[in-house]
Amino acid sequence: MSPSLREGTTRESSFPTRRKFVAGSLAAVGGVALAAAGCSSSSTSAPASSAASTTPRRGGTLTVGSLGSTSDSLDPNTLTSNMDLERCFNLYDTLTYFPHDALNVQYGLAESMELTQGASVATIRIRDGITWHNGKPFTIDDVMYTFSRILNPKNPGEAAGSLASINQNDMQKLDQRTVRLKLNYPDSIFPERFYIPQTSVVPVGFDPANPVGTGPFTYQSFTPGQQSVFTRYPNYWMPGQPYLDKLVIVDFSDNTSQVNALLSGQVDAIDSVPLNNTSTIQGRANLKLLKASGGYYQPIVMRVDAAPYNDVRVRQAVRLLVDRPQMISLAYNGYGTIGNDMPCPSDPAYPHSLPQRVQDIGQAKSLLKAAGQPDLSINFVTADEDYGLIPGAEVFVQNAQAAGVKVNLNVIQASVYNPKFTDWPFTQGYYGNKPLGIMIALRYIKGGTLNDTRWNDPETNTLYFDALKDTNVAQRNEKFQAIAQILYDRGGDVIHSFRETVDGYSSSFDGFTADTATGWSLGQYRFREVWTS
Amino acid sequence: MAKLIARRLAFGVLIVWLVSVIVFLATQLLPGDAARELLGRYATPASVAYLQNEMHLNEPALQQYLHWLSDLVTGHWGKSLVSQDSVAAIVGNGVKYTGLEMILTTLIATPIALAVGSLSAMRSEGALDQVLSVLTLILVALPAFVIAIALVFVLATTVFHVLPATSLVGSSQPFWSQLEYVILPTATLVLAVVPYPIRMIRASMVEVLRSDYVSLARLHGISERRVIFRHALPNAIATTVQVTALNLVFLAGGVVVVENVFNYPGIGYAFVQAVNDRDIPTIQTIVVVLAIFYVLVNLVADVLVVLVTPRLRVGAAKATPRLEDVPLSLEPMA
Repeated sequence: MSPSLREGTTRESSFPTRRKFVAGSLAAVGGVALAAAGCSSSSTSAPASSAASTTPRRGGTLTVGSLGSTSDSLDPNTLTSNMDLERCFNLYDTLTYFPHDALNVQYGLAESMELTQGASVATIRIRDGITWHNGKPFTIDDVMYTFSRILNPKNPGEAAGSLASINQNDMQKLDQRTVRLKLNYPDSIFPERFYIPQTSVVPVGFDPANPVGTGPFTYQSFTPGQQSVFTRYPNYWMPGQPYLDKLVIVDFSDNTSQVNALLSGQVDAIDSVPLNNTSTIQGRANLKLLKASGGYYQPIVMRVDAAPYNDVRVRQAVRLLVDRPQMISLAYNGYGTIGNDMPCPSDPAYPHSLPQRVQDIGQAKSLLKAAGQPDLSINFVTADEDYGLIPGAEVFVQNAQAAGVKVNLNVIQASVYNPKFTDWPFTQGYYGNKPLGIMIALRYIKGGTLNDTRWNDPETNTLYFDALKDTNVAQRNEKFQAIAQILYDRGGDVIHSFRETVDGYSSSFDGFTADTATGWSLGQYRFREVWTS
Repeated sequence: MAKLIARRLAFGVLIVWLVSVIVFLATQLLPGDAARELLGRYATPASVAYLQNEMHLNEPALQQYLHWLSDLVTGHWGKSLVSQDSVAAIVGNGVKYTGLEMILTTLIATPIALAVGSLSAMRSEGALDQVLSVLTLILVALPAFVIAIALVFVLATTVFHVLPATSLVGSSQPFWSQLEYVILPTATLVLAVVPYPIRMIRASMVEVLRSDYVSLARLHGISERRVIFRHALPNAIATTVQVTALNLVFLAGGVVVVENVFNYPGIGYAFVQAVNDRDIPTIQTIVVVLAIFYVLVNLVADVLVVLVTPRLRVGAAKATPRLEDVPLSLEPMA
């Protein structure tokens, strides 16, 4: 399968159209390589079983409707769309994953990941007794093959940037289940890098036309843009799971037909119901909504290297202009949770104790006056690329008026906007949730591919690179927390709220868990946890 | 006659060529970059460069156009940029489903139009005619997608649950076993297209029924039934042919909206997917195929009109009619 259209991006937000991309965790983490030393180890707990109120039942078929296209693919290492993510989560497994409630890394195919020598050496040990769908045993060779496949310089996988600390020429196989990696640079967030499906492990000699995985469901048929069918893998390594006999995933080209198919009972579940169309599902006795606040955010972005936003007082004033609850009710139809100008609320390092910032026009005015900008006029350039962006911008225009700040809102074509998305002095972004350490690398370190605020702060840099060397998770998280506080105090973006994900499903199914950790729909599309009730 | 067809064909080729130029300009020279558009805001520069190369975006525009045109003419339609399937297969599959839909729609809409149009004409200015006029006007005013959504609401999701809301045509089963998926799309298209022929046939019949020869026939005491079926109706056939052609031409565009409401895997659905994916070879080929369809339908309709219209037929036998004498193709009403 050609990688032509699948490099470098993933689409984390699937409405209103499926062509919404967020590179997020996949974009190359440019410019963070460095050398260091130290010694400790990183540890995480065993896989958590999903909380269930009733006893799961075996059997049944689940039909899910999602937005897909002829660009669909079953190659996990090159996937870019939500639809691909959904299928690959069920066909393959990753070395680690996140539970539904927080970004606390859990082991998947890996039994342990030990970081030593200041997080510059990683030892991965895989679980024993796992078999591929074709019956062959799963070994460390498959893991090494997958790393080489993703890091192939001629045809890099989507996760190549995320796994940039791995030196594929320095992988030492210790035994059939263990490999020792000498990393290119200290990387204490190494275990957190494997939760994305683009790092799914594939067998040696993988052929996407014959997709063999270790996941809960095995491949039966696949027509891009139409439908795919999977059946239960009886030898799945998680005890008891999956419960369903069969999984059918149907492609839709737009939300209207997707919702109609759920209403008429043609499909049992759909992801990402348009937020202005949830009421059609809400009123039905046989349907349920699954609502999750997963840290998806659309920040108002100010370039800290461009006047007048290089003055922290101006940035703080802008943050105080925003009526955050109004933002949620008008831009997201009420489906959102309030933000406090820091990303990644489900990360263990997120500082929940900082005071909630609220609209304060008087304070904003006096800050602007102190900064010599009493008649601030803002040229707000944005593009209509994601649900809620333009209404959010319009709410901001209204809010700013209250303080006498004039905002010239300029909505331009995405094709003109995108090639220089980090150049606009005052604009918006849209970002999926990810571990705070990864978010910092992408958005708040010089050279980070998504650094649209042009954040380049010595204190942040020191804390970040120290944290990468720190194999003590608690200490490491303290450093990430300190960075979050810096962003709260003087950062360049207004993170006014987190947009929720809303899915719909038939009440004859159980086991769908709202995923507040990643915000991925239908409980991270983990259909192994679903059963017929 | 042959000369007429040849002339019309030559014009057709010119029109299709012009369409190909316009489509090319639209897809290639719009602001921004198709590769960037496809990969989205947060694409890495490396992947954008890779895709630009893959899509030949670095070649000069004229060279790209000639490249594509020669492939098109020689039948090497190439591969979809996105799925790597051959464009011919994508177009062929879409044509199969859309063709079925269009044939069914025409077979249902044409007799309805003839019957209702004639009935209206016979009761011209009467109560029934008035009611039918209002109804057809309402249908004319409704966009196809509104009709589609209303039908889904009533028959599939909310009021009754008797038909599938979306056409989830599975490729594993033969299509004839999934015919329930064609009902709602076809019903929508019938309702969307039927008002035009009704009104045109009515107008044409009213004119015929007021003509001298019909009055004469009535004065001769010929039964009204015979007057209508033997003398009046045949004269409305030319109109029927024209409006059927008009409908086919409308359908070729109208299916785009309707197929997407129902997720029906025809050419319109393929077209929207291609546009969403910025799959330029597929977009260009589908548009050219649709343009060829427009030209051919109009040509066939014109020839048929000549054949069923005695005045023109006689003229054609004696001397080739000038282009101006032939009823011109109707403009599609979108």
